[in-house]
Amino acid sequence: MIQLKNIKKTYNRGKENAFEALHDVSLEISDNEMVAIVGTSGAGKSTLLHILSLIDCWDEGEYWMNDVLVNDLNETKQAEMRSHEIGVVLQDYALVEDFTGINNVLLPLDFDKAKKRTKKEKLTLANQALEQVGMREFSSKKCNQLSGGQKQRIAIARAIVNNPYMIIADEPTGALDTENAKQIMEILKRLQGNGRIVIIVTHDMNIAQYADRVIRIEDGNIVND
Amino acid sequence: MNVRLAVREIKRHLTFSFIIIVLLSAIFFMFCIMTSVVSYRFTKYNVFKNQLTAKGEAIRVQMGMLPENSKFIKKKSELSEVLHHVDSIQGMYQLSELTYHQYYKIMGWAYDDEMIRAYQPEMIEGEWLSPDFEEEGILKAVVTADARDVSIGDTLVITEPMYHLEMEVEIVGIAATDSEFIGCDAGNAASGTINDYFADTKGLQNTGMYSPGINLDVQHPVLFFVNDQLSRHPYFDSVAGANGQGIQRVMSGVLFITFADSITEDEIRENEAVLSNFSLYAMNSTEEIREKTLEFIFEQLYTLFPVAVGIALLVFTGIFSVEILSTKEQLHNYSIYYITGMRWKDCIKINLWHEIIIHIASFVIFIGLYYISYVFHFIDKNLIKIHGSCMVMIVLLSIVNCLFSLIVPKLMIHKTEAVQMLKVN
Repeated sequence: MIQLKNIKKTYNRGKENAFEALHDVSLEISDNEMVAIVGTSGAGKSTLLHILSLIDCWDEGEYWMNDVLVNDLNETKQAEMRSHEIGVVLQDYALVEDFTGINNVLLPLDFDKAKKRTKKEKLTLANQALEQVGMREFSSKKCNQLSGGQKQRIAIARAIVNNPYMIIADEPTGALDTENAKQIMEILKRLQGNGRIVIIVTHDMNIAQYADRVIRIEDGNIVND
Repeated sequence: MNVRLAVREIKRHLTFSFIIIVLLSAIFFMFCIMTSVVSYRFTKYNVFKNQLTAKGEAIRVQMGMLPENSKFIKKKSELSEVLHHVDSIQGMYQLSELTYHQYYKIMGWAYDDEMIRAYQPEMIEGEWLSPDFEEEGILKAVVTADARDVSIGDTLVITEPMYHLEMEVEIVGIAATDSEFIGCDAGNAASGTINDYFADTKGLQNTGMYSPGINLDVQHPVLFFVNDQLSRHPYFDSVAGANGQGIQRVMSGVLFITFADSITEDEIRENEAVLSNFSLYAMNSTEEIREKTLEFIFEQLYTLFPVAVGIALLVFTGIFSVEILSTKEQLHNYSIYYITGMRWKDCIKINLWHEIIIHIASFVIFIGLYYISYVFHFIDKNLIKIHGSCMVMIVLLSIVNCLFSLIVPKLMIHKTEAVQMLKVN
């Protein structure tokens, strides 16, 4: 279970152009849930998502993951969480373009210091993840040679390779056409279950319909859940 | 893992990496040249540093003669007996005309022990002279490389043609013909510095004197001996003077006399007056030579220093600019590594490894270029060498660069979140 309690986030704190992106946000997400976070541009949904995925910090409030207070974790522990508890999929894929598909997928495994794996084990896991997203045959191609949809699948494979507890996708279909968007959402839907949480941030209500629950955020506040 | 990612980053930014490696190799080469130039200027000074920092006289001699009977000075004791408060005398001696292989002419020079210990010329093979050569037994000598058909271990029969004296000499070393030796060149104008006390074989030939039949335009090879060993050889001890039989030996070339600290100025003046009767070539106080030598060394360095600093600043600026650009290029990937589970400090370590690998590559290229230049004579091997001080400067620069490689990404990452970096870069 994920719990956020009274989370606040202000950009450019202390400066003239300070901007409070999140005001006192609290929410709870249970295992096996697929949640869509929707809102207009600038509502704070990406900020919320980045806090959930530990790639952005927050100013006040508590973040609990499975009864562990994330606030108390040091940089090393948070890095471990990003590696094997959280899988992130971003709108612009965030792939190392001149790495091959499989080398991108291997990154979380290589950075996971908690679990020692042989190279063979890592390759097996990476290939399994690519198989799940239908990209096994493209594993040795460099990412700069792939289409948008193919890149997003590689990004999803990278997000799931370590069997994370939570998958977070920020506008995963934002740069894709309708057909590819549909395929990506079907992949993400399949990942839900077995205790896993899937969170999607989107401004597209068609995409939000894939989720079990929709949380609406406006001006840094949750207005509908 | 960090090393592997660092190697990948180098391959990704091959152009930047290449530019940095070339600039660094150039800087290393410049350090080598700078330190060599400084070191070279001190090399000769350091040979006679003990003499130059004591009270004494630096003398250039051309066939020194005793004033009372015009006999050649053969030993340093002949000087010390007539001077006040002498602490040390070290000189060199020219031998009379010699031949080897029955026909070929060769010059002969002998050094006092202190001079042998103080300086070794460039050797091609074997060893330089040693004061520890056996007192009895065969004479040992070093010959210059232009001697015909002579190898290490050969026993040459050296002939003194006037009295038909033959002696066996074992060759223990071969010196480079173009090396510098302790000696002076009577044919050159003096600079008043320690450079006047070194000469090549041509200079030695100009200072020596031979029979009228010798063509001094022809360069002869040289045999070098330990003077003390010659003193125990019957052919040398029996010399009574210019008219005596035996192989002649006369004090010529360089002579350093140092006085005890207790000597007074008046006694120094008296010593100088005595020495002026000894048919010496030129005499200067060691203090004078020291001051002029240091003036010469620092004058050259003061001229070189601003130029070197200017070049170094330009190159450093270039290197740091390229490194900042290179780091900025790498931030995008560091953001991705962070998102997928790496700590920022590990990302910064990738930058450090990147820097270490670049420096190792630059050093290897620098060494390669140095040896290519050495082999193909693009550089003067006597002047440009890789000294310890050069290595120290290289290591210091590398440490500074590596620290810089840790600081720059830290400053760039500071207060910038990973996602912002992905967007910006």
